[in-house]
Amino acid sequence: MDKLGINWGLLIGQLFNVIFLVWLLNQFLYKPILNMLSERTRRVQDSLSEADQVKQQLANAKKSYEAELAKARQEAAKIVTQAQDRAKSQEAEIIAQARREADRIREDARTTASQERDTLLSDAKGKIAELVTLTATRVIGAELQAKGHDKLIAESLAALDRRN
Amino acid sequence: MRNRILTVLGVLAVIGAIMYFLGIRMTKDDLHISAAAEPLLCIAGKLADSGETCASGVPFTNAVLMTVLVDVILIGIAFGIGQRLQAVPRGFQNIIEFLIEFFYDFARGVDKKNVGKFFALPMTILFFFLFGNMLALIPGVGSVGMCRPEAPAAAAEAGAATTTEAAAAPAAPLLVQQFPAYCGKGNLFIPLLRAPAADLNVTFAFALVAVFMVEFWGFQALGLGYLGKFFINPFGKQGAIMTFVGILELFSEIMRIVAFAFRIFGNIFGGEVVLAVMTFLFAYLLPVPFYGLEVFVAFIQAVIFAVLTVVFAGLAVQAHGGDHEDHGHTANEAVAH
Repeated sequence: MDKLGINWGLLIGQLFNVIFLVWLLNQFLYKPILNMLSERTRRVQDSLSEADQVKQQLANAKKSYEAELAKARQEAAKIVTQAQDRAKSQEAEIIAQARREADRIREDARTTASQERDTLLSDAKGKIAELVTLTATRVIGAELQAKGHDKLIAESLAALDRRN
Repeated sequence: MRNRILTVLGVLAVIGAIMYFLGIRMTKDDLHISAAAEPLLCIAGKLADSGETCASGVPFTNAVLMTVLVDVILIGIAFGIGQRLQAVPRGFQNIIEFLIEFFYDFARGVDKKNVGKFFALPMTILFFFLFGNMLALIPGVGSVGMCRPEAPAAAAEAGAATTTEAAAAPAAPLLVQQFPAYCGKGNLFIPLLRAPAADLNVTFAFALVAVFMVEFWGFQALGLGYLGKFFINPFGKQGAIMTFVGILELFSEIMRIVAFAFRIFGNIFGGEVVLAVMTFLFAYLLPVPFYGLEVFVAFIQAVIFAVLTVVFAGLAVQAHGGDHEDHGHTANEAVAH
């Protein structure tokens, strides 16, 4: 024992040292570090899952945004088509109306023109009869009886009518 | 990088060789090997005549001084790092965290359920011996010390030898023997510090605590059934051979104390002796490869002590094969006897 240096006093002292060291290191080194390590693991896991969640949310938001966009685009296209259809039908209507108007105007013009011609013609007939009478009176003079006048006028007018 | 290392080594080798041939080297008288830790002073007592032990009182040995030093360092780590933990680790905290986490994972691999209970002891064993062994390899530990007159008988013998030798060939003293602090013949060199593992008091203290705690955890986990591992009914279904095996187990359980204590003591003390002898044989150059080896041994022995403690604890808390009831019964019988 002596040669190996084993001394009961020292051994007991070292035993207390071991126990003290184990207690102290456990209390002030291992526990805090192990706690912190598990805390760190937890935090990393948390932040990882949080990141996943955020990614998921982002993907969802993008998806809904895209769906919304597509819907809006469809709506717009529909509106445009509707507008185009309406415009087309309106165009046709307007054209038809214009055509009708034009026809009406033309018809009016035609009637007015024929009326005017008729009036002119009858005026001209009157004037011509007068002129014929006058001329005939000048040419023939008083030799002609009043009774022959009327016959001549009627003949001239009939001739005029025929020519027209 | 490699070139630079080789250059440094070459220069050191040349300086070493020059110093060796100048006469700065160990002689046989300087080679002092003691398996026991030398007392620096004796508390409430006085030194024995040999100068290597205390005749009375409690010796304050160099190993005790080193133990206190390692304690101070570990406590410093506990309060400097354990109490000032940063969420983002930096520098030394990384190393301590790594050591603790690594060993914790290992211990969890051995026994997941009870790791929290028995983690502190093996971790402390690892830290204490790792720091103690590594610090003991720092140059100056074991080579800085004081001189003390040797035992009168030995001194007389040495003196007689000197006279005859001196008569035969009066050798010129080596250069180192002319240094003011040189101990010289007839004096005992007492190093100021000594590896804690190179003192059986320290290793036995750790071994006793480790084995006691292993048995304690065994009883805690299995109750009296724990005894069923060692006392097996020879007429039971396990047979007589298992009874004998159980007794062997019990014996090995006790021998673990000795095995633990002497394994690390032998390795570390042996390493110191090897280094001393190599330095004596050819100073400066020969010890270098052994130094590397000792660094490895210092690490591996600390790990072995800690790992074995974990493994034994894991074994102790596991119910032995077969059914538990039977064991409890046998145990009770054993106690009754």
